[in-house]
Amino acid sequence: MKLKRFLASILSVFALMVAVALPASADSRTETLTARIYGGATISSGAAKKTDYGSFKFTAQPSTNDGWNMNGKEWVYLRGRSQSNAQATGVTRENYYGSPVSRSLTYLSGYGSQNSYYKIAIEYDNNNPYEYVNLRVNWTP
Amino acid sequence: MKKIYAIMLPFCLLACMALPACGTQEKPQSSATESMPISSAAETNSAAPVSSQQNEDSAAEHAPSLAGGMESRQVQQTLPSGVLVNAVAAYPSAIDFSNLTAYAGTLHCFNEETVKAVMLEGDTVHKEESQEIADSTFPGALHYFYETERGAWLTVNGASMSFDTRTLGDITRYFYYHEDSDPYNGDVFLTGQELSFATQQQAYESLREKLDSLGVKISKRYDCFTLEHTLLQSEADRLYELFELDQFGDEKKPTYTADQDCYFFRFYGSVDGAPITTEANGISANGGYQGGVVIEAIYSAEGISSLYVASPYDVGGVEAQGPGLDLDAALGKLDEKYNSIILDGTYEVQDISFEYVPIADGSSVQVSLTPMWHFGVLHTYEYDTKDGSGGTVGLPVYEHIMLDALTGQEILTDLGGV
Repeated sequence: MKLKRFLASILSVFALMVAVALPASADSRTETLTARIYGGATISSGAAKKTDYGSFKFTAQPSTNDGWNMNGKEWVYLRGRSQSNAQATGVTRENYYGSPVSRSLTYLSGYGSQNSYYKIAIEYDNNNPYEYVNLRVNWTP
Repeated sequence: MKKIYAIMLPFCLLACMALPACGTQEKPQSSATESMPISSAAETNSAAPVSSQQNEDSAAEHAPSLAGGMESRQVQQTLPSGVLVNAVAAYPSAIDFSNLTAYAGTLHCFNEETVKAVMLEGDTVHKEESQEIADSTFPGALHYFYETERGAWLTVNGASMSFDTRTLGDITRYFYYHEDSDPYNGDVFLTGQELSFATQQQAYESLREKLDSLGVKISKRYDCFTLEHTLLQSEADRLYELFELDQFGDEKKPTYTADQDCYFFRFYGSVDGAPITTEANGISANGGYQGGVVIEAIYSAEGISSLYVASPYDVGGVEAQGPGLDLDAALGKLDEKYNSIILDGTYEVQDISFEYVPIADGSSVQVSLTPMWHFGVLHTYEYDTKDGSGGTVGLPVYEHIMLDALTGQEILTDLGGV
């Protein structure tokens, strides 16, 4: 009985290793996106295919020296969109203190299945003391 | 029991070591992350930034690759409104602008059994899933996912389908072919280079036949990008450095090999031989939002490696007919538009094409396929810099302006919120 349990444990560890190691790199995409005050949403031109399980991940940082002020007073909304531009994830509001901002967003019901494509959208917070951001955003659906 | 733990420990350590090798690591969720009520209506944004490099591009570099049935005309002029035009205009050679037609259109609904039979011929499905589609345009339509024994993936999702053999990996990661994207390197791959396993024409014919079997008609206009591995490698190396991806998550620099050489095709839906736009239009708040038609494929030594089709339309009867705008008249209407507003920054028309656009009449299944002139305009706004020095910075944004070729009216797009 003990041996059986032991073998089962070994098998489960192997299963975990295989599950973790197989998707060596999920599809992702990087684009530079600009959002303007009162400019509404800017959506990436390209889309990345969802090849992995789990949430929608992104990393954002300024693409130019003044792209995103690092005083933390410039806020930007980000959200995953479907290939046809429908809102596909929850939304997050982020600011910047000098380090790339990495987050995970939960898919909305009906989205997040493998082999589907996702874009990313950003929007400038109109209460910001400035007028635009230039971001380099990398996302992995 | 202790012995078991002793034996298990190395395996657990191995498993932990394997973790960093996986895709992008999930970072801790910020407390600022919040969920907001989600509108059921889809939204769109036709505005997207472009690179400064694109700003300097010549019209010739943006020229669409034209197949039979299309004509092009170089336009370089400054309109009286002050808008600069520096573009190659593309339109069907057989078009009679004095007698244009709008057609009724119906969103094509893919039948999963048909798509499966066409795309998975000779392969066996070993995994199958289905689930409800969010905000489906087709009541009761399901999202189907199939995985085959050879590892291919196929999804059928009402008005869209996606097939991928998954043998080429993330081959398009450093390939930016949308004219409004930043960066843009589509021109780098528009070499016309033929690959050893098939000519571009042979690949096109094979894909056209496959699309025909799926009930999708394509226009004679298409773009064929040759993704040759040395070119891909050079672009990947350049962009990897540019994006500083070594400091950006866990992305590894890729290595491309000759067996990954392939063609990337961008097709267009067809109405009377004219392409249907890939751009979305409409006011999302009014429920009239409509996506463009996207048809993209990768053809490699194995044949069709991937095929993605979204929102194709079946063309119905004539809805309206009459004299329309030729290119010069359309440029006149564009000038009228900019004459009626206070210009904010500089404007340069970089792309012009005659296309059909699906305009919704309330339900997104039934549309009016309307002839239109599509202008890609680089609009450079001027803003104060953030350092308080009193300086200004130019902010280029690529905008899509669509004019109904029958009425001259602008077809509006609501950018909406995030």
